[in-house]
Amino acid sequence: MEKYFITAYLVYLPIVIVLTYFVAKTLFKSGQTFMLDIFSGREEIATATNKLFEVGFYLLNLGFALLAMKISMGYQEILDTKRELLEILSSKVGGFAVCLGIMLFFNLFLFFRGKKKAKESKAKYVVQAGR
Amino acid sequence: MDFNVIAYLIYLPITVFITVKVGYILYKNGEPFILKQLNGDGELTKIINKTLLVGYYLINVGYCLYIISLWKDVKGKVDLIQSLGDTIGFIVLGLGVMHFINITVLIFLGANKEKTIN
Repeated sequence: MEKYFITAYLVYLPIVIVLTYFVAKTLFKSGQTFMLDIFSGREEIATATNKLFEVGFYLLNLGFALLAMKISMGYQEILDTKRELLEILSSKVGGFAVCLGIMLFFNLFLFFRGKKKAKESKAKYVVQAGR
Repeated sequence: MDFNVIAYLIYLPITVFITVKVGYILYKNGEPFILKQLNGDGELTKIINKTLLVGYYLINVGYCLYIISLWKDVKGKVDLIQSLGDTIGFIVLGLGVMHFINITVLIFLGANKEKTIN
């Protein structure tokens, strides 16, 4: 029985880490252009903000993945066949992937909101300069 | 060897490495924000940034060490992996939440600053 537990953890952890890495990479590659737009081309502060958000994304997701790793007590007694191993693994990895997707959309929402805010404040400056 | 000792020996390098690495990235990338806050006073920015970094290290490494004293008895390999995952996950998630609170504070500070300039 103990064998299956260790297999489950050893399969779950690499999948989760690789998944987070690739999602963060694609998200923050496109984040750079958003940030340049928000900070109207000031490269230094745009890169810094992008990096800060990336670190936060990694911390939140990997922390959550590790916390959610433990197989709950109810399942511990029945995890003794390959079939149950597969079922538990798929529920764990699937649940994590859904959370990752929600985080991804939340980050995109933040980017779009920042862009909108930057546009508004720019319009205000133009109006004030015109007076 | 006791399973608890193995857990501590795996736990400490991982958490200290993550804390130091994250702190250094924040130190590097936080500088433009403090510079903006202090109206471009480079000297003061460096001093404040360094102090913030040291404070961050003290609090987080200290907390990581303190957690060890609260560790329950570890029985067997499975329990080892589970308790390691729980504790490291808690610390990493906590770092992430604190980090986002910091970003929010920075954004609010920046917004106030712009209001006073106008």
